[in-house]
Amino acid sequence: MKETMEIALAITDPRRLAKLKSVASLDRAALLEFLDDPQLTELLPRDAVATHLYFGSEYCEHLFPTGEDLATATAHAKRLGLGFVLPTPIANDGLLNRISAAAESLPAGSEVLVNDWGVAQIMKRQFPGIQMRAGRQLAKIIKDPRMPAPALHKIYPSNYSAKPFANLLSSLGIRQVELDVPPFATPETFSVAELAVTVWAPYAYIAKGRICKVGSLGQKTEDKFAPGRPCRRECLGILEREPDSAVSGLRTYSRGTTMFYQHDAAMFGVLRDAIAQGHVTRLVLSEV
Amino acid sequence: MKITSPISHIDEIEALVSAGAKELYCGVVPSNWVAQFNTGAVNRRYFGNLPSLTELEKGVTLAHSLGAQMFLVLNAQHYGADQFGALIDLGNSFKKMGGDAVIVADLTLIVALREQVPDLAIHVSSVASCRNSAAVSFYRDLGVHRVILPRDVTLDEIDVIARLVPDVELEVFILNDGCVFEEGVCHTIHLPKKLGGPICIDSYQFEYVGASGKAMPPAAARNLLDNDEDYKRWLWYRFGCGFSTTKEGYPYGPCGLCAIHRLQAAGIASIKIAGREGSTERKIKSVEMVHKVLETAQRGGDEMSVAATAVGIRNTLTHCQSGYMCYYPEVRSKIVV
Repeated sequence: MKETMEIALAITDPRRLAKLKSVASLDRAALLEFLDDPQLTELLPRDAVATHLYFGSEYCEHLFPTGEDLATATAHAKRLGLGFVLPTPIANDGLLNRISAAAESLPAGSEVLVNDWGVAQIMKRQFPGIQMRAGRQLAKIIKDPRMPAPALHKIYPSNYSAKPFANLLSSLGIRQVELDVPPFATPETFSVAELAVTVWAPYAYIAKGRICKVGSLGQKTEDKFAPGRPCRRECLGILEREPDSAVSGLRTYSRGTTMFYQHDAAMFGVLRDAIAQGHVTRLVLSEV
Repeated sequence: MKITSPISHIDEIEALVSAGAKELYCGVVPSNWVAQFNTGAVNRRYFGNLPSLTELEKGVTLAHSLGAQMFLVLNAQHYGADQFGALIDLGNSFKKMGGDAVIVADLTLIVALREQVPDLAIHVSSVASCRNSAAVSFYRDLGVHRVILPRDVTLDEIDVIARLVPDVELEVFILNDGCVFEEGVCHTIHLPKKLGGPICIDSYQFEYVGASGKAMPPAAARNLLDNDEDYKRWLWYRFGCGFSTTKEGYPYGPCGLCAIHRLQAAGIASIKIAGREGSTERKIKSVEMVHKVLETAQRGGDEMSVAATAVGIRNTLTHCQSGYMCYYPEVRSKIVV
């Protein structure tokens, strides 16, 4: 592992912030206890300690943090000596306003993770001092967990390693791109000229929509499954889980609007190799 | 406000224009593309493409002779760096044959086309997931002429974008397209059926678990199962009600006809019928249906009369009442409830 690799913990559910209260240092033991995933034991080096806290959602407008939750998260980050990162999803104009308001309140040195060119535009114009990172929805790569052969990566090439993509990001002041571990990845998957690469583990997102099944639980039948409806954040308390990985080969989950898969042993191996070869500048650990 | 219709064969052009389409869009697979890249995926669809540049040129000429415009889709979410040369060549060829605009999702391709085929108009594909005024402004500053908004935007959101960025044409969905996820951020492949098909409707079996991995309490589990049943019904509507039609041939499935009055008032440039891979009959009936409603709006019909025309064409009140067939369900209740 490169000594300079940063390690981040990503939290979406504001109720999970409470668990940080009892943590004095977000070191390896605290990370492993928080995430409770045995596969991470081999991934994290013995001297690992978190450097950053992500709080928010890249996937859903309804999960964008309230001002109060954001203040709690940034206070935890400050107490633990962590840099703060605000993830942002594809936004409508209403959410753009909330993102701007949130950006106003971020501590110095915070970063914003963008998945929408409009959000990137707003950040560049209104908050040039805040560093942006390109999210996984801007870095296009086939991540179908059922993908039968690596050859499909050639038929559907990813965009993030092309120089014009880096040039575009550079024009917005973005020099970091965040990636998942796709099926049939190799360490070179994470070798990107001109961009620093962050990788998420142990879950990768597959697809997201704007229509939410569990978010419709509280709606009248005829009002379900439509955009722009109120949400009670049911997804934070209800997870859909594939009982086994018979269909996909990778265990698959659905949380609200978004499908994820869990990395298998081979993916962890590739990620370890990529880290060892110095391709990964930041590792983000998340719950599903 | 114009109707934009798909074509997959140039023989469809005359009938579709006659039915009311003033804008047509198509894909093409140049013969050397398959040899060069070992795939027919020049755009989002393997099928429903014109077979050659010769056919494309004939299509452009025919459309123009009938007073319609022709757009070419180059709307893959992302292309590889080695494909850009061929795509620029394709853009140049299309421009030389008189093509009116290309529909593009990959931002880097938009930039490359602006630099290398500067006179070719660009429409941002719905696959670009452009959902706010700042994103539309961003694309405008790159030199695009039109942005096609994704499915699953509300009429209020459309209004805001149209008001804040009046110098970019907007196109919105009106009929037939039924993705479950947002196309632009769905990183899957529509695999052959034996390998699972589209991931959104395949054979995944999920179990519900609570926040800490515990089983759901019985009452909550019952609610979830009821909700699942509603969701399955919604999926059926989303996928064209089994691609069924009225006895007159008007297609069921995702529909925004009741919103045409609002869309016209918002200054939307064009309403999009999806489904390049559909049958010719389905395309023609789709255009006819949209044209009838649009005519009512353009003759000065009010919101209720436009919506009444929309509902009356298929005259299948149960589908309209379900709320699950609507692109813009916020206008449904005014008409059928």
